[in-house]
Amino acid sequence: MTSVITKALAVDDLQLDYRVAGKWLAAIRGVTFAVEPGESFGLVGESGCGKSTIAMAAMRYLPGNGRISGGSILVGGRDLQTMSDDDLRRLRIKAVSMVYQNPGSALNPSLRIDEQVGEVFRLLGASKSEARDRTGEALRRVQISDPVRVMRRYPHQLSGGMQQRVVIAMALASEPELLILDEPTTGLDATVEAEVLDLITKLRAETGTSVLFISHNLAVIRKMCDRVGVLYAGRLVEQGPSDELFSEPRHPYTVGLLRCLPQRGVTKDRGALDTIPGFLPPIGAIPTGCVFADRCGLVQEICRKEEPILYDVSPTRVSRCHFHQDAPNLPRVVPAIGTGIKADHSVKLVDIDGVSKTFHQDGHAVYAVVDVNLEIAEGETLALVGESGSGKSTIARLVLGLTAPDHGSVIELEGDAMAPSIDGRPEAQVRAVQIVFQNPDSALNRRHTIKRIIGRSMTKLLRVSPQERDKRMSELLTSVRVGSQYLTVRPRNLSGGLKQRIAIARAFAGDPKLVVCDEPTSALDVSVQAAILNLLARLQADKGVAYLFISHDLGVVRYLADRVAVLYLGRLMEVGDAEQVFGGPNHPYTEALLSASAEVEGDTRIRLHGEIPSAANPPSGCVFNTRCPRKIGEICETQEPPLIDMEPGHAIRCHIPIEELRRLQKG
Amino acid sequence: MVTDSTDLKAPDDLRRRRLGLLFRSRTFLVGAAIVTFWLLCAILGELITPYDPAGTAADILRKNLPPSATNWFGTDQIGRDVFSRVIAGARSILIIAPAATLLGTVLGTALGLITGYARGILDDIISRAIDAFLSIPLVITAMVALAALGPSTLGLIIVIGLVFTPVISRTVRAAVLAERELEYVAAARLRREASAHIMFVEILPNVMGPILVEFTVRLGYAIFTVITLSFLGLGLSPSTPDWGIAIFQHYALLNGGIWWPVLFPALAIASLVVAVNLVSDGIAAVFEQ
Amino acid sequence: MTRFLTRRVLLALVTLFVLSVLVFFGTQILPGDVGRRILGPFATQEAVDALNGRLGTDRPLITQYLSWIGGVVRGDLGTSLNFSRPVSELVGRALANSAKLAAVAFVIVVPLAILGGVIAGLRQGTWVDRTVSVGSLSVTVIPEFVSGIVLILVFGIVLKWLPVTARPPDGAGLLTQVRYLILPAIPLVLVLFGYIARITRAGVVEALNADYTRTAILKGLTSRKVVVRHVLRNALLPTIAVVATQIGYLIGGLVAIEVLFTYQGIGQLLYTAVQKKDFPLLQSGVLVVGATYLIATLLADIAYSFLNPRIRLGGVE
Repeated sequence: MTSVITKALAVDDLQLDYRVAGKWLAAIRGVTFAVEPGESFGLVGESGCGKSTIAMAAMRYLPGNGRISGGSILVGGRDLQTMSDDDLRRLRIKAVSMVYQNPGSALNPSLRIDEQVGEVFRLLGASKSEARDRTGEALRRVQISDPVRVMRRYPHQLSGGMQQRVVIAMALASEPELLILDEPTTGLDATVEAEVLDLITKLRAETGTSVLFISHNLAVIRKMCDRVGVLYAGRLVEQGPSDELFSEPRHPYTVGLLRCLPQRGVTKDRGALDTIPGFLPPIGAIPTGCVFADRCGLVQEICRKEEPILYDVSPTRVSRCHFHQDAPNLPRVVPAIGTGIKADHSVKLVDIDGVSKTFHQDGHAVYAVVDVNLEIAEGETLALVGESGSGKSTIARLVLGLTAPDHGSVIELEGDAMAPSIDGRPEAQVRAVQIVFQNPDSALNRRHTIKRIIGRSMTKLLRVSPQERDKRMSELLTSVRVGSQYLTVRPRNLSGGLKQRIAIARAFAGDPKLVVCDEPTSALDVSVQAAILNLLARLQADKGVAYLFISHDLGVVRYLADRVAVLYLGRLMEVGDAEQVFGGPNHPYTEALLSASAEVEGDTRIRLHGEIPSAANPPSGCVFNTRCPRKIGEICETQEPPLIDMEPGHAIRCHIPIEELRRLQKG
Repeated sequence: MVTDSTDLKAPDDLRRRRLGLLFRSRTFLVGAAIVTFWLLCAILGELITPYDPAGTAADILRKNLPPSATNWFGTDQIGRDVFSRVIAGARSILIIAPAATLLGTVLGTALGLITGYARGILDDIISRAIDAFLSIPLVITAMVALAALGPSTLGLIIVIGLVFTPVISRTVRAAVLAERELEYVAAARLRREASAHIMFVEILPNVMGPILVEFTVRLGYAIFTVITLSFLGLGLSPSTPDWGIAIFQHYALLNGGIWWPVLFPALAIASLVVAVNLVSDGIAAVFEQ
Repeated sequence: MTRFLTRRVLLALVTLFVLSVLVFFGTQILPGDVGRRILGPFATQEAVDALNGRLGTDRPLITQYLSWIGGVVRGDLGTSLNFSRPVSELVGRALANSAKLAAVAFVIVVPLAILGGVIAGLRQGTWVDRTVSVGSLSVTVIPEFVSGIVLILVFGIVLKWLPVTARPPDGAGLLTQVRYLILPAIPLVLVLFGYIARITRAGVVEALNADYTRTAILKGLTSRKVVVRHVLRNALLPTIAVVATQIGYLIGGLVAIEVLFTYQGIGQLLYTAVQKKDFPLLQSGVLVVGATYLIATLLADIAYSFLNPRIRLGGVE
């Protein structure tokens, strides 16, 4: 007797093309994988690898210019392609559901939550009143504490995390056999992400639903999935149980990806990050040999001639590499040597003293930054961390002079007070403080050539002659590792990583003393991120520049920062050397942020619940008291704790004594 | 020198691709062909008309003749050849409308850049004035202004140009408002560029697309407005060979069955405005891609 | 919401004030001495001066403005020089006539154009879409009097189906009145059709491409439900605002149509006022036209904000 277990999702030799400018280009080429009943299967890869395309294909929902040109997709044994439209509709009602990347736009802005969730129950045959009741239940199940209130809301009245819960409730309403999660936490704050991921884990345990989990985030996939497939350029290059695959990858691409991530214990002075050279082949390019050959450190003759089969690495694992045994020995692209320079905090560069910023919006005062004191020493990196709305970017704008702080705030550069607005600052100060923005697409004028973008900054800031400018420009391009052949092109002809290098070059054009880096790598893929982080570390070591580094990614902060400041609702909650902040003891908020970053595992994890309060109406006492898992009592609600030096250079704003914090956070 | 082993992405062929798309659009080509035809009529004028469009003293004996082999479109109430006047009539409109649109676009762009970039109190005041101005139908505003100035080509160009300025400035302002939030503007402020530099060197090149589209759309409306005004007997001297004036002078004869001096100019107007609109629609579609 | 409304109404009042200033000083560019215009070229200068003194047209402009606007606020729009009648009476009657014509045009065009736009949007890229889009675009740009002439020729003179003037015999019933208004309304319909259909189509296309429509489809809703509940609800919102702004255009378009069809509406009245340099009539008439437009857009904005929960209910709690 053969027992055939019907797979929740079986994708077999899938070929999928997109029509671009009249030509059909292959986007997915021969991808095969299956999601077993009750299993969570992850698809991971960088942007453009085809993961979301596969997710949509699994619901038979392709854009007008897409087509499946080969292979099959079976959901619960039923072939999607041969199915009638009515059967497909029934399948979508009952068997497969989806959770989307952007819950804000996935919900209909002009329908109330109960109408949108109730609709799903109505499709399942419930009466109107039944649908209402079951909607309430469904919302409670996704841990919405006050379903009645939420049901009457419109999507725009809910926070991003709340919206995503609603979408999850909607997706699980029919108790589907297969749940597809397409980047479900991308764009959410780390603390909210952690909550949503916990919720998905819990619901999966309750329902036993099979999951296809799509993400670019290796840590999230590792945490959420039983098995993983790694996609590269529309090809599945490696597949296996998630623990094994991440701890012992057997494809050079997987190895490379993991090496790009900053590792615990490695900081800029101790080691450079490894990168993956080159670029993803453009969609439709079909190399004769291995798709990864051009970027692979293990490449041999055979790789360019013959495409590797999916070799069995173990009974549960496959790898599409001729030399999969050697994959762990992939040579490094970047030598592991760090800058070797430890910032010395002795010379104060910037002094932020009692700085506040209040915005006035529709007659309300919004307290974006409240009485922040910070110092930045020459050549050091001060990282600002905190959830969105914590005031990180506002502080950066105040230092830059793009926004004027409240009266009474003082920002000094080398002992001289800086005018509130850039227009009032002397040239030397203008030159001294520059910025690298998050998104190079909007930071570089798309109508200007690279030469003009960088040259103009040099002319304006340094007032140099054209000859001198050209000489400096070529030196600068060399130092950001960009060839001079790019001088005459416009930004749109450059890859994301190159654009960010140009933006960095512009920031360095006037020999700055402080460069604000506002999430400079969060729009980039990990392999590109690693190269940019290396570049920033190298430039800092060479030029002695200080960074005010804003990031939501604590892994990146740990790698690059000398000191870390934690902000919540515009207030400084903790500040200290990077080792102190990452080593603890911490403010409970910092503790929650560290717990949320997926690399930290163990029993000490704490979770934040509830929403970030409004900056227009902050809680009394300690502003964090409404969400604090370690709240000790009334004092937290009535009295704002002072920022106390717990140890030299490490200050925390909390009523709990340091020894108590140390004890709580040890166990 | 160590550089990334990169190849450039696709060569800079955006402009070529747009042109390619444009010339594959059938509606655009039809529109462009008709516009070209009328442009030729406007340039060559009396060189290609069978009769002198201004008429001769003897014409009065041949007034109101229906279309025939000698006068394809018949003759008008003072005996001038309608066909010749339709051909020659392309000239006035094809000088006035583009010139007025250009004037309106230049002024409107400047105003839109200033209000969109400066914002604050200046923007508030100008925006209120524009709101108020645009609450009066443009035809009525132009009517009042032309009644004051009397008939002249230059007057018509200036009036239409000025009347269109606030309309165009609104479009430009909206584009600038989106653009000024982009970080390259902040980067320019951080090297202390003058406002004029930021507006005209940094932002302006990035809003040229919407401005070009707006220009072609407004050109259609300029033709519409100029023709309507000349139909109302305003703007041009009554002897000018002009489609609107021809209709103004003859529409009372319709009831008497004399339709040719009215219908042919009307069809000429329709063909030109539709053609201009097809062209502008084609250009807009390409820019939206 | 209350905040939004208050702000919006205040803004409209400010705009109205600016409008009155623009109108008053704008009409001063018309040449001619008011007294001289009334009494004609052969009157003595003394008589002209005396009349100007009596009419107040020799006072400083600011004083004249204040007395004019003071009258307007009390409902006194002045007296027409040409007709020697109160402007309010003339404008009131003309406006009522124009409103009838506009109403006929709106009743025809709004449902047709929305239907056309929705069909084109839902069939995006097909021949249906192209026909509706190119067709509506083409008729939109043809001046009203041009299509009016063709219509008069075809339906009034060749076929003799409809009357060629818009003015019904005295004491005509409602149906007869409407019959007389159909021919002049059609050119207005043609011009408006393009605008409204275009905006509707754009709204439908945007809603069809939106993520929430994808969610609705992947829930397993039928196409009909997806379109009715999810697409149209969001797509038709912007159309409301557009319909209202077209009122401004409509009044402008009325000038040529009313002249062509010899119809005693506001367009014809203002045209006469310009030609006869009838200052009081022109100033107050234009002010009334502008105010009508401002009120229409105000009402549209308010309707829009009531229908759009994002404005009605504000942001995240």
